[in-house]
Amino acid sequence: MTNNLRVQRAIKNITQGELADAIGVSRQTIQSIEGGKYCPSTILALKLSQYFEVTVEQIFQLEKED
Amino acid sequence: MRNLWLLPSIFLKIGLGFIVFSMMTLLIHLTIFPMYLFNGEQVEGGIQKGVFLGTFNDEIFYSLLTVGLLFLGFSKSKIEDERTVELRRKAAFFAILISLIWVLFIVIAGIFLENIPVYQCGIVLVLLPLALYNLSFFYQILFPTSNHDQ
Repeated sequence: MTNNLRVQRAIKNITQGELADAIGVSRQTIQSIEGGKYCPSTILALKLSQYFEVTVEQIFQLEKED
Repeated sequence: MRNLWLLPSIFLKIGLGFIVFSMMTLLIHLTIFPMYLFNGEQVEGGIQKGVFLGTFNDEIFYSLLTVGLLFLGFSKSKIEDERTVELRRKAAFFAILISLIWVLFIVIAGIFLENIPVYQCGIVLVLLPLALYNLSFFYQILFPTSNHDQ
């Protein structure tokens, strides 16, 4: 699964730490998601989509092998 | 994390204190009785003894170390989120797997070999999973970009 969390963050001009604080997770979690190392839960994906005011699909996209 | 029973984060520091204290007891004991080295040291009368076997210090050391590892591994981190829980799960899986392999090895080796230190199996069975869990968990926490964190 790929994501454009970094882009969404850049659009809102916020740091990983600020996003982490807003969502209620650690900065390392945001870092891992952006790096594709960690796949977030449905709850966290929905929280992110609500925060950025976009749909989940606009942040996360399935890959062929998923 | 809401669905895991974890101790308050202050126990992380207490656990570290216990581990440091247990290591100090080990060092003090080895300073006082330098003739007893680690497992399998041959002493008079042909009896095999471990570092502390037969002394009071082994109970102190193993108790302090076990409690320390328990506190360290099962206390909340600063921000306990879903990724931390995932890392805990991976660490627990790793610890159980390696411990089971170790037990199997001891059982199988015990059939063919005589001098397997079976007397330490109980201690090892407690300490090994705990130590592996802590090592794996904190390795993933400290090095988040490693392969463990995929």
